[in-house]
Amino acid sequence: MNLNPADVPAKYRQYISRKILFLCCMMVSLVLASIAAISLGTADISFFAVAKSLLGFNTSRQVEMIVWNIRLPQVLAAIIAGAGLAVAGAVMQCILRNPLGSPFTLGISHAAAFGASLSVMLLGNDGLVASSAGNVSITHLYMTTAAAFICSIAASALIVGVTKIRGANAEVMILTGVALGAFCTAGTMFLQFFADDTQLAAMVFWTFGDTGRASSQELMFIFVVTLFCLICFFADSWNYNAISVGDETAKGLGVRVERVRLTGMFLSSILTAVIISFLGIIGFVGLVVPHMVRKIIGSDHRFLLPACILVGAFLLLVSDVVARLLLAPHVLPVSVLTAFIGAPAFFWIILRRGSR
Amino acid sequence: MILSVKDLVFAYNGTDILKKIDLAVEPGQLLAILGPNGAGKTTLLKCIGNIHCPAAGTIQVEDRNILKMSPDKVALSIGYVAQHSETTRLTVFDAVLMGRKPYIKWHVASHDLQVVEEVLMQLDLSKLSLRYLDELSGGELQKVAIARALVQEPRLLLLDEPTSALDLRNQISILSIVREIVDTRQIGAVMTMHDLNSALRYADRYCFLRNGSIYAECDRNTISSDIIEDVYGLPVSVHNIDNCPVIIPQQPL
Repeated sequence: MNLNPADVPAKYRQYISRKILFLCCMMVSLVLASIAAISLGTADISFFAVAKSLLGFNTSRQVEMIVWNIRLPQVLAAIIAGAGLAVAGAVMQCILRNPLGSPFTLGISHAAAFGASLSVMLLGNDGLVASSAGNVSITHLYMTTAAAFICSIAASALIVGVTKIRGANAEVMILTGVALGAFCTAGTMFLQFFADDTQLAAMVFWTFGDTGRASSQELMFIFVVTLFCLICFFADSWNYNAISVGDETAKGLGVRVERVRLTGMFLSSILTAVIISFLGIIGFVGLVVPHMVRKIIGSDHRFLLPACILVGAFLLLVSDVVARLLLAPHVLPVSVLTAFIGAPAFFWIILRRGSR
Repeated sequence: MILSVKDLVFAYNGTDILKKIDLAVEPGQLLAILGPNGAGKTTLLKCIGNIHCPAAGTIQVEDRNILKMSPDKVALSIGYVAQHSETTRLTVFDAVLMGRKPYIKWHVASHDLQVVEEVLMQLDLSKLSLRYLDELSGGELQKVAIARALVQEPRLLLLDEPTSALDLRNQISILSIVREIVDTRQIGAVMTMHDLNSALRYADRYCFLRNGSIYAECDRNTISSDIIEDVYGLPVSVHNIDNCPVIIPQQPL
């Protein structure tokens, strides 16, 4: 779009207003999707009954129970996890200046899966029980979550540590992450090879992301960590913008590039580790959402980060609902849905990029 | 004096890349750093821009030692134009507004927008304001990089090979802009160059580096074929066309 000089201020303000409008629309969509997600399920509750209950008006005891104790925690888990994973992906892609930056490509998810598998292996055969719906669940969930968390944090620390030694270079981060991912995958396969049937089922089951897995206290913990990381990311929005046009330019603008890169990597790794340790591996959100949002509103991190929060939360929430309803009473792993939705979206982005 | 560099030493892996460099730039002066590949031109520029940390020496911008200042304070005095800028999905306006980062804490003030508008107009970039960087040509991108440095309102402008990937028209355009900015704003500027004739045409003084040391400093009146032959190891002749020295290599075709 070519502009007359006199039109620049007004046109730029309009351009910014359009971004804000997009954020507002996504916010409204997320609220409506949340209410719809709570109302949909085996026990049918009307949209308005859910809205009334959430707003504090009197509804039946059964509705209150289902809304507040069963569905709201799951919806909140989907929103927080979607927001956190999408923002972590956006920050990783920026500081690594690599479109493949995500918890998956940097081996953090693989490390968590290895930790969970190790826990299942060490805790013996009683690590698994079958539910009435035919699903499996892990009895030593706290230990498994703790092991996954420790391993993913160790992986993050290793990436940050190696990178710090080598001068906070984006290439070093990516190569370390890829090597680590391969190592953890090999470790998981090694454990799976020697596992018995129930252990193997538990290991595989853990990797299926499940937004209903976290308790209220755990959810609160995930929320606090996510909120802290988001505030830190927002404070660095300008720095991310500067790094996105090159390290030298960023340094010329007074950005301490190495510090911003290490802090961003550390926080996005912690955020990812917390989410996947409690909810299991939920792929593609961290990779695809930042690309989708960048296509819509550009790479200005002042708007990209909040938009990733809203779109990531929306995408995971919708995926979670579809996963619950598509083959009811069976519940599909939400990570399958996010990949089914995310992969075609990614193809579309690649094709659009190629045709420009 | 806008820039004063004294006894600057930069070492990498135990090897001195820059050895005891002394430089000075006055207001309204454009200094070209010239020399063969590997002479240390870009390293010197990065040391002055606080991107590399020298092992010894002082760098003063308007009597303040920038080596003792925080990076964001340095960015208030020095604008750095890198040789290559990454393209990303930022609009030209946002990319230039980024240059106000040293002044912006949380909120973008009207004054920041006004400064950006003025610079965009000065560099004839207004019509591209809402275009994304990944849709621009090389010459347009270079102008954006210069605009970003200018909105920092620097006293010293550093340009690393600003015309290296540009066609003749864009080379002339960029160097004319730099010359005009230095003259009108009375700031100092230092640029590294490979194109000797462009440097001789637009810069006020020339500093020839060889093996990390300053071999010669001269101006239009004192430039000689001997200096260039010693620095580049190539026979040349210097001619004067329209009051501007022009270098012609003497190597037979």
